[in-house]
Amino acid sequence: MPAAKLLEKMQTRKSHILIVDDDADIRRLTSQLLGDSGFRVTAVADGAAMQRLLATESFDLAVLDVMLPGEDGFALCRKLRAVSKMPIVMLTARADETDRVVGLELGADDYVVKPFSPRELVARVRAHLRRTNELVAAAPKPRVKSLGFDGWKIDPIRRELRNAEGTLVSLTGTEFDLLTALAERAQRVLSRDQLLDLVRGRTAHAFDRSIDVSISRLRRKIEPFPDEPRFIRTVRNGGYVFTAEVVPLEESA
Amino acid sequence: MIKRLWPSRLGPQLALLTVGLLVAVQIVSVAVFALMLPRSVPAFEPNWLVERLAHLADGAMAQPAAARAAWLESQPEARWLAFHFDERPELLVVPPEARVSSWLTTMVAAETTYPWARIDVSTGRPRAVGPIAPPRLERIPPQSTEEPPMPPSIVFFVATFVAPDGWVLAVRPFLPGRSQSAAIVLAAWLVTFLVAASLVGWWAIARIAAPLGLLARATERFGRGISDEALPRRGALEIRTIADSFAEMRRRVARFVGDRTTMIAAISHDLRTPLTRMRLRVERVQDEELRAALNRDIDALEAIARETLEFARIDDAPGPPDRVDLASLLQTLADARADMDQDVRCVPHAPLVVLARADALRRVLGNLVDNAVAYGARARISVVDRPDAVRIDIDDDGPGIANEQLEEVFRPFVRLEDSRNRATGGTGLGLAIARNLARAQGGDVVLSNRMHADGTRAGLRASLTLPKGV
Repeated sequence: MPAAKLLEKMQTRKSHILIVDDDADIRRLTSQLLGDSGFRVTAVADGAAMQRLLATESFDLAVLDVMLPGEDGFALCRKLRAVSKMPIVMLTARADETDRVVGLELGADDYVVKPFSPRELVARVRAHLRRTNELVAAAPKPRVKSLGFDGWKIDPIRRELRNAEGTLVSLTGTEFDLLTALAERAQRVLSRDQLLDLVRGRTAHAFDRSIDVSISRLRRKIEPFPDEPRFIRTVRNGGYVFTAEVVPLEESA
Repeated sequence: MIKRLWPSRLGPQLALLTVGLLVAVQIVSVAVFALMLPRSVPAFEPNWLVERLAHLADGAMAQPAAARAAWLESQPEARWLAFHFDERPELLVVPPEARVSSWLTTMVAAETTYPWARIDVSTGRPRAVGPIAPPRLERIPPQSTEEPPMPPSIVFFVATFVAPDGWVLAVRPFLPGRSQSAAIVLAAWLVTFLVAASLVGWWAIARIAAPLGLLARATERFGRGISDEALPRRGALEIRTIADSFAEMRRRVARFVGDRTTMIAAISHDLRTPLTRMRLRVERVQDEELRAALNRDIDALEAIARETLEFARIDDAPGPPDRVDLASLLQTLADARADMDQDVRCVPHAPLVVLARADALRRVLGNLVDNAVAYGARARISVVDRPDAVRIDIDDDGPGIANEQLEEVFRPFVRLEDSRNRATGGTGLGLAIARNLARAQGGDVVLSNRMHADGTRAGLRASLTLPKGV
């Protein structure tokens, strides 16, 4: 365990984070926060400075403010995404759903609304860096394309599930992540631990119920007969498999 | 009874009034006409009448017996004279008060050339119709040598000619009076008039009242915060003036509200940057207790900024309604809060589709559930599915709210005195936001107290109603 912690520390120390924010105080304070958390941080005030910096430095993750003078955060996000696969976390003062969708569609990985909790920002940065490391280990990056099964549609950007009639069926965050994790790996048996990992990695849920509870809730919402599940089958030696045929869907904006 | 039949809308009221007035006028004029009818009977000039009667009687006798009736009916006088040919003169129509006019009798007798066995002319005023009193054929008119005075114009008469062979011809004018055909004509006229008057009246009044109706609808919708209703551009000058004034008022109110909203939104929005700095700065505070306290304060400030912004932005981007499964939405809402160890439960319901904005529904129901948990310790969510609407009840076990304050708490920033001092916090905007969002979707939020059997309050019930419209 101490070895793993040490390894993680070494990994995080290596991570270089780019911050673009026009507010000098927030730039300084966020740099301090992430610096204290063991990251190497370089902060600039606008897109022009970012471009200059990119020519000489390499980064593991970018934190972009949306409201910037000149080119806004969305434009910077698009530029950054064109040249790099690094995780991008957008910071915004607007809690609009549309802003979040635009950001994620432009290739941002996360969206944090000001005033954010500093600990949450650190947690999210850590989560994204960990996933990047897993990416190196060939773990699939979460899809941004919608998935379809038996007429149902999973939209990962809007985090929406719709049935065959196009009716919005509500899921809790955990249920949605669980369904996505299962559907992305259809026909593969996933153990409870694997599922827990996949769900935890995606978003930080403070009060996760056990996987079994979430599966049973999920079944009640999507299975025609929850007692005889067709989509999510229980595998005898502790695990679940998504048995419906899953097809990637064209993005319909 | 009359109150119930009396229409409530202006158009029908005016129409009823107009048609009623027309009918009343018509009835009165017909009544007056009918009362004056007997006076307007045409009178006969005596000399002319004598000449005509003699001509008709002699003419008839010039025909063969079988053709007399036809010949008489073919005469122009047949239009106003009735002829009776009968062996039995008692069937003749003679008013009881008719008197034998010696002047007429004498003059007619002198005028005729046919050797009549007997001639009788009676005059009088017609009162009744029918076979009355046998003609006084036995009574021979007094043969006076002196010339009797000529009567003035004659209104009614009966002239009886008795031929030597006993054939009798009686002549009289048609009796004036309301014949059955006249009554039918009158009734038909009245009905036609009524229908025509109603149609024209209805059309005219609808034209007058329609702009008012339009204005009333616009005013009513504006009162609910929707200012999309078209205003009347036509109609009476007064109505157009009101419409223009209302349009101006609507513009002013919209501008005023818009300015206020922009200002509130700007302030709330601009608070986010300093709040972010504070959050980051507080993180550097070493004293755990102090840091927690500061964070609580920042939480409170943040909630005010967020909810004020939400409240100000409610009509910002309504967005199109979506097909939303209410059952899973409520279940998710309850589960998410139960996961945070709140006592929230939802009575399971079969999938129930409503047309609404999912994010707005979540916000409304979330606010109501949070209130229930904060003030009433627990929330129980249930659904009542009716044909036209859905009602979602959120019940808590709290102290409830005094009946006279059930509406008061919906006003923005209003919090009840006893809750202000409690640690429940809140900005006093939750219910206002919930109700505005619900109303923007054609629904509503109301509060009511749940009662124990003994009349004490069992808790509060918040109900969200949504029109179905699927």
